[in-house]
Amino acid sequence: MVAVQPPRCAVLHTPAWPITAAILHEPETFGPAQPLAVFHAQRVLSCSPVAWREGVRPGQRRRQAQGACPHLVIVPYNSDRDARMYEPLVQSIGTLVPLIDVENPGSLLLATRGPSRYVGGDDALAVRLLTLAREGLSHTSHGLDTDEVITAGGGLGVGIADGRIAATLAARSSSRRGEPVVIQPGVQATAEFLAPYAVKVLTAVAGCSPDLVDLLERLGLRQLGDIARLSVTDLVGRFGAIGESLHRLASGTDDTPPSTIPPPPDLMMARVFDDPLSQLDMLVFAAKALTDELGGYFHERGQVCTRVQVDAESEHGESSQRVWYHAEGMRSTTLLDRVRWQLDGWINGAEPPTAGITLLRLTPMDIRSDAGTQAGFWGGRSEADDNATRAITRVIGLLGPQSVTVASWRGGRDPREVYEMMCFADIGSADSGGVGRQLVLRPDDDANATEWPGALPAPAPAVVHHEPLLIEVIDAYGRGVAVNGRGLVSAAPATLVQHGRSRRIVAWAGPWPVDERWWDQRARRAARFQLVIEQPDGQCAYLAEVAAGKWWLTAEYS
Amino acid sequence: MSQVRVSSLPHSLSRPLSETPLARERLLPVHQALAPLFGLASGDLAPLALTRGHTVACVGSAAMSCALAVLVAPTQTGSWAGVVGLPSCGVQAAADLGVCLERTVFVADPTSGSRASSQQADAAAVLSALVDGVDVLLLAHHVVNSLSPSLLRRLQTRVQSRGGVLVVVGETNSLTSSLSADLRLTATTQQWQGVGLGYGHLQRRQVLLQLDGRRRARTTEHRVWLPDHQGQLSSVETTTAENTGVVIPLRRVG
Repeated sequence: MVAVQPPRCAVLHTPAWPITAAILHEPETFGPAQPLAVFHAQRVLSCSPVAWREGVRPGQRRRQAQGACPHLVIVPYNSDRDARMYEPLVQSIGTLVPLIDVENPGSLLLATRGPSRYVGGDDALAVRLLTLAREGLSHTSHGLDTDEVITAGGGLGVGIADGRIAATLAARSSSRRGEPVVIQPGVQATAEFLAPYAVKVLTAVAGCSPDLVDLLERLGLRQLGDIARLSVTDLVGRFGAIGESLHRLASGTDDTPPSTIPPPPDLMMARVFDDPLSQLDMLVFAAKALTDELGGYFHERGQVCTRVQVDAESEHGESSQRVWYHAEGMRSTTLLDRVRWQLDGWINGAEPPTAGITLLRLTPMDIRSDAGTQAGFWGGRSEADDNATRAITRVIGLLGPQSVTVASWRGGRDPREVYEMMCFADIGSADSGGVGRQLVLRPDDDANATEWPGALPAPAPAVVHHEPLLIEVIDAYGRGVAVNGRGLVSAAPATLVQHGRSRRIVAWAGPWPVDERWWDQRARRAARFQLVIEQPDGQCAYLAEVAAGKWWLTAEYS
Repeated sequence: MSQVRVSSLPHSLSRPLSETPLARERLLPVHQALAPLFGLASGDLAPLALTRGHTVACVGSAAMSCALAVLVAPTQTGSWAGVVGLPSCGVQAAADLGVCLERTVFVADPTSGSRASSQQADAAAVLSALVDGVDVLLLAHHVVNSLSPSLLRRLQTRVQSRGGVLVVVGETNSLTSSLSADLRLTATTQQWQGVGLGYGHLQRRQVLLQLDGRRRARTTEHRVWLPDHQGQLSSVETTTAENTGVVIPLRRVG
C-alpha cells in the first residue's frame, strides 16, 4: 500500500463543550465550581471535572450519576446552544485562518500549512490558537473568569499532527496536560504516536461502532499499533471494506478514504433570496429545500457527503463561511442541522449581520460511496418497512393513535381474546432501543395446546364479532334450546332465528362449557356451539354461545 | 423568492423516481394453492401471479377467508398489508393461514367519522397514505360503498401508479359504487367436514374458488380446503391421496 502523506492538521478540542456552553449561556444558573453534567437520552453526555472527581462518568445512567454525586446539577441538552456559543470562538480563530472545519461544537480542525508558515512554526501556531480561543471565549464570558470557564469544560487542547486522527488524539491529550501537543511530521512519527492508543478511541474519534471495537478487543487487538501491524489484506478478508479503513485509521496514513471522489467541480446548490431574510426560521425553512435536494442527489448515487462548505451572505456583503465535517457522512437532516447551527451562531451571535440574508450556498467538498446502510439479509429493516412505517405514521396523524392497531398474541379460550389489538404507536420497534411494548407474534406450538385447555380447536373463525349478535335457536318443536347447569342440551338445535329470519341447522356440535374468571368481575360462564346452516349459496358455519339463557352469535367461519 | 441553480446539476435530479420496472417486478406472489387458478403449476412455493395495480374483489360465502388467503404470500415475502374497516377480521384465522402479522396493520374505517363534512377528504388522505406505504390493501365492502365514484377512481389510479394491490372483501353495491375489479374471486362453500348432529367439531371446509374478471379470458376453477384441519389453505387434489382413509385425530375440547 502506498503510504500517502496526509495533510498536516491542527485540532482545537474542548472535551466537555456542552458544559462550557451552558455556563456561558446561563452564568447565573450554572457556575464553574458546581458539579455539572449534561444528559441526553437519560445518559451522561459530558460532565465537568468537578463532577468527574465525584465519580460521574460519561455514559452513566441518570440514577447512577446522582448516586455517585447527589448534588449533581443537571444541564439540559441543547445542541443549538452549544453551536451558538461556539461561534465567537470560531470567529476569533477565523481572524487567523480563513477556512475552518467544525466537526461538531467543541472541536474544530484547520490545515496548518499556511498559518504555520505565517506565525513561524507549529509550536508558535499552537500557542497562537490557544490565545485566540481564549480571546473568543472572553467575549462571551460576561464577567466570569475565562480560565475557570475553560477548566469547567475540561480544558482547551491544541494538537498538531499529520492527519485528522492523529491531530484529534493529540488535542485530546493536550487538553488533559494543559499544553499544546505537536507531533513531528512524517509517517513513522505518526504511527509511533498512534500505536499505544487503545482501540476504544476509534468510537470517539472516527465514529466506529462500539460493537466493532468490542469485537476487535475480543480478537486481542487492543491497541491501534496491533491493527497497524496486521496486513491490509488480512483485515479486508476478515472485515470487508471496514477493515481497510481500520488499517488506515490505525496507521494514521490517511484519514480520507481512497474511495473519496472529488465532487464535480461545479456541484453546488445555492439559493438567492429576492427578499432578504433575517428570521432564522424562514432561513432554515429555505435551507431545508436545499439540503433535501442535495441529500436526494447523493442518495440517488449511493454516495454520502462527508464535508460540506456552507456560505451565507447578507445584503450588505457580510458573509459567513464554514466547513462542516461528519465522518459518517451527512444526510439531509444532519446537513440541515449544520446549516442551522451556523446561521444561528451568526444571526444571534456577537457580530450579527446588519441586513437580511440574500444568499445561501452549499458546496460539497468530500464525497464517498455510501457503505453505511447495507440492508439486512435476514431480518433488519427493508425499504418496504420504512415506507410502511412512514405511511402508518401519516395515518396515525390523520385518524389518531387508537385507529391504527397491530395484533399481538395474548392467548385465551375465546376467538375474541386470543389476539390483542395494540396501538401501532405504542409498539417499540427494534431500532428504537426497545422502547414501548413488544409485539408477540406467535405462541410456541406446545404452549398453545397446553396453556389454554378448553380453547376451540383449529380452524379458527375468519370473522369475529367483538360485539356478539343476539340470536335465537329453537328445536324441532319450536321451543328454545337451553343448556342446564350440568352442561346438557335440552334438545337438538334445529333452527336459527336472526332478525326474524329462520334458517335450518344441518349440523351442530357442542356444548363446550366454559367457566372463566369466577373469582373476579370479569367472570364468564357460557356454553359454546358450532352451528352449520344450509343456504342457497352454500353452507355457513357459526360459533354461538349460550350465556344466562340467551344465545349470542360470536363468530362466523366465513 | 427565486431559486437559482448556480451550476447545471445533472438532469437526473429533476427526473421522477419511478422507472419502467421489469415484468416480474410487476407481480406479487400468491399462495401455492391458488396457483392453478392463474394457470400456473403449483410446484413453486410462492408463484408470482398477482399483477400489481390490480383490484381484486373477493366475494361469496367464504369471502373473508379468501381475502386473507390472498394476503399470505405477499406478507410472507416482505410486503406490508393494511386492513381497513374490518374490525371483525379473525386475527387467529389469519395467523393460522400464514399471514405475517408483524407486517399487517389494522386501520379503523376512515369513512365512519363523526365529522360528516370532512369525512371524504379524510378518507382520501388516509387511503392514499396507506397506498403509498403498503403493497396489499384490504378494504371492507362498506368502505368502498361509502367512497364517492371519483374518489374510488383516483384511489385505483394511485394503486396502479404505486404498484399495490387492492383487495375488496364482500359484495359491493353495484348501484352506488363504481368499483371495476380487474379480478373477481368467488369463494363458495361446498361443504364443512367434521361436524355431525351433536358430535365432532368443524375441521375443514371445501371451497370452490372461481376466478374471472375483465382481465381474464375465461373463468378458472379450483377446489381448495379453506381452511384445512390446521387452519391453512391447501388444494383438494394434492391432499386427496393422503386423506383417503386417514382419520384426523380429534382433540379434546373443554
